Amino acid sequence: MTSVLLVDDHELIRHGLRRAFERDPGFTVVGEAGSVAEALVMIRAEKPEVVIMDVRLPDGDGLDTVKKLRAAGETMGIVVLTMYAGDQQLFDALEAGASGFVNKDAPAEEVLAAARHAAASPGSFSAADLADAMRRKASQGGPKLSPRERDVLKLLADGLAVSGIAKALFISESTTKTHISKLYEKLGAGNRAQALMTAMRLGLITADKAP
Amino acid sequence: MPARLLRVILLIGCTALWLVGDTPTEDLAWIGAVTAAALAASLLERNHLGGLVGRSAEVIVWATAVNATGHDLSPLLPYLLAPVFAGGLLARFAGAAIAAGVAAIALLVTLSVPQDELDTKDYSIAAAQWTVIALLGGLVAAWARRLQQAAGDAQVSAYAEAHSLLSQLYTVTRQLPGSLDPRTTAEGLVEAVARTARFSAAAVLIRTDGDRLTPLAFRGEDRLEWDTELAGENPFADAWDSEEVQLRPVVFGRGPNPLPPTDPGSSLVVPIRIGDRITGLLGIETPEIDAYDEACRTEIGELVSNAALRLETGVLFDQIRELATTEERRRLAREIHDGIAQELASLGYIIDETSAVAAEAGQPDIVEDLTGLRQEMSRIVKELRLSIFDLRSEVDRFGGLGAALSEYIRTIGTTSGFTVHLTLDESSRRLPAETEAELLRIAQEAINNARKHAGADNLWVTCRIHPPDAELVIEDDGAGLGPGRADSYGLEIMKERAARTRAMLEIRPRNPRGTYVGVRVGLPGGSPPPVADRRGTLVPARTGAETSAAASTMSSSGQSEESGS
Repeated sequence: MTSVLLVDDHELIRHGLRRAFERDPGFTVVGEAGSVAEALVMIRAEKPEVVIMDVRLPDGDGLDTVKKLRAAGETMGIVVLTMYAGDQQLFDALEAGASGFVNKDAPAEEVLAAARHAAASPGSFSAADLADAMRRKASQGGPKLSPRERDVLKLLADGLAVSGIAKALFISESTTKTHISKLYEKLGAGNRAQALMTAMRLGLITADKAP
Repeated sequence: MPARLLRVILLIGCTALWLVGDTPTEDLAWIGAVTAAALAASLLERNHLGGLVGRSAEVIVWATAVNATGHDLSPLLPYLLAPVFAGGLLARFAGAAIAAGVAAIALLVTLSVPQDELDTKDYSIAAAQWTVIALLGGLVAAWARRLQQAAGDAQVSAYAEAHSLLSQLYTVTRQLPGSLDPRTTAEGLVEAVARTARFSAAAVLIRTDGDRLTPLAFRGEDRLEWDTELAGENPFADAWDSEEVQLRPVVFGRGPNPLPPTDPGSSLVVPIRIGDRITGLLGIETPEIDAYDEACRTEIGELVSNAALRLETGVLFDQIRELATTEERRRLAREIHDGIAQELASLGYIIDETSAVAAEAGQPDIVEDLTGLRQEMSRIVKELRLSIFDLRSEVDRFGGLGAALSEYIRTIGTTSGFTVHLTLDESSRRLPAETEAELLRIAQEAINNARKHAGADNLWVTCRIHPPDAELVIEDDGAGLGPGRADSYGLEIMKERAARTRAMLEIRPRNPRGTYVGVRVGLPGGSPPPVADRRGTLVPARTGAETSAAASTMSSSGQSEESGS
């Protein structure tokens, strides 16, 4: 039997989760806490195998508490339960050292599944939305170029000089220079060659475009 | 309260003295009498006169008790401090003096009655000492009381002052002929300068939080590209540091990191100041040589100083309003988060349990119903979570409108059925914080409308920010504006927000299907820049044509960010 401690400042939530855990023969609920202070006392006294932790608690931040608990030991499973939306919450929980992350809109069975996983493998991390969140984070990486900057980059790669680019795009030379310097800034480059190398590496232009 | 505490402490102290002292047991009765007098005095202290009478009686009982319990050796002697202190605290100097005076008289009376075995000299000295000590204690209490009251008065007067200022502001905002909108004021200034001096480009910039200059008005070229970095080397930084007008025989440099400008012309930077504080800068330039002579500079200086106070007031007013809104949004978010959202989530768990019970009882029909109910409940809780996210989204947390918008879209994208195409074209300059916040909320509203009602496959979000101009376009290919939606709550809110930030809002059906929502700040609907660019720059006409052209680039350009599905 896996011993579980429920930490949430809403009694109704704790109540609902307790019933769900008690229905499962694999779990026993050893206590409920409504604040960080209570949770720390109960963890010391009961040494639960898994802690279900709310993020917003009246006397502190649940994620800070997760960090503290994780720093104190690697063997306890910690499942973060939250009402907040946004990928950042998930990554914050991962960074704090949680073993699982469940949204409060998910059915109780998901909380139980996360608790099972956390008990078996407290050092790893599971979340229903993890793969999507990772993909979203990855797709966001790299500099974002405006359509105009993209045009300028293409013409730069074609080997055009500033005056040529200005003519091709019907813009003034000073505007062109501004676009180029912003492009260098975004790519972290000091000159044209560096900018084109970086752009190629990032897949912003293809190799046959490079000079 | 402190007076009562002192009475209790002294009574305990006196009893302790009695315990350790070599005094007869009958004295305990006298301690009891003083305690009773103290209690009565405490109760009578609720009003002024009662306090005076109560304390006088308390002191007389005390003097009699001292006389009966060993005179100068009496354990009750120090107790005098309590009523005199209470007198000072509750009735100021007079209260302390009366209590001490009554004590002195009562002691003199007991002294004057001849008694056996009494060392009158020692008794007189002890009585005088304690009366003086008690009087000093009372005076300290009275003084403390006065200080406390003075502090309270100062606080009250600060509030009174704030109240009168706010009432004035309220009246002023309702009566002003012009408006408090800083952008309108800044545009008015540029307009006035245009009547005085020739320029090819002019801008009014104000300093917002940190060291960045935010353009409030700009007229001239396509975009404001001057190098106005306050940390850099340019006439703007010089004007800011020296607080002096800067006149140069060249045009402004173009940023960022430009070479020193060499194109001949004239450029002028005038600090906008209130008292000895600079709040912003006016910059104008022209390719003409020596365009701004002494007389012209004086005239521009006057225009600037006339507009300065209005400009600053407008900026302050916007900041206060934004502060109030942000506070309120945070409060709402907290309330939803801690209240209804948690309650519904816990109801969800109850449905889960009921469903499990029904499954054990072998009732698949009920299980099916409950599963449907559970899905609906999860959907509602998810909506609430997103509302909380909406309410907590603030532009500055993400460092710019573009970043805030992409974070928002990434979060929304996870729960919506459509693909989001986001195009960002953002200058390194930023809009005023209040404008950024309003634009973000308009975008949120438009995206939410599309997500909830449109049933779209695609959502295109285009965000172009070139302060002081900005353009946001949100389009979907969903069901379009139904007859019921035209005046719905969401659209109403968007209109209000747009009006507040002086933005132009355009909501119309999109071709071939869906809805188009466009918000423009600063981009003049009709009038093109008055002066042609000196280098023959092609100034795009700002009409609907550009917008539709932009829309087509978006959908075909491979650089749009895609998110969720």
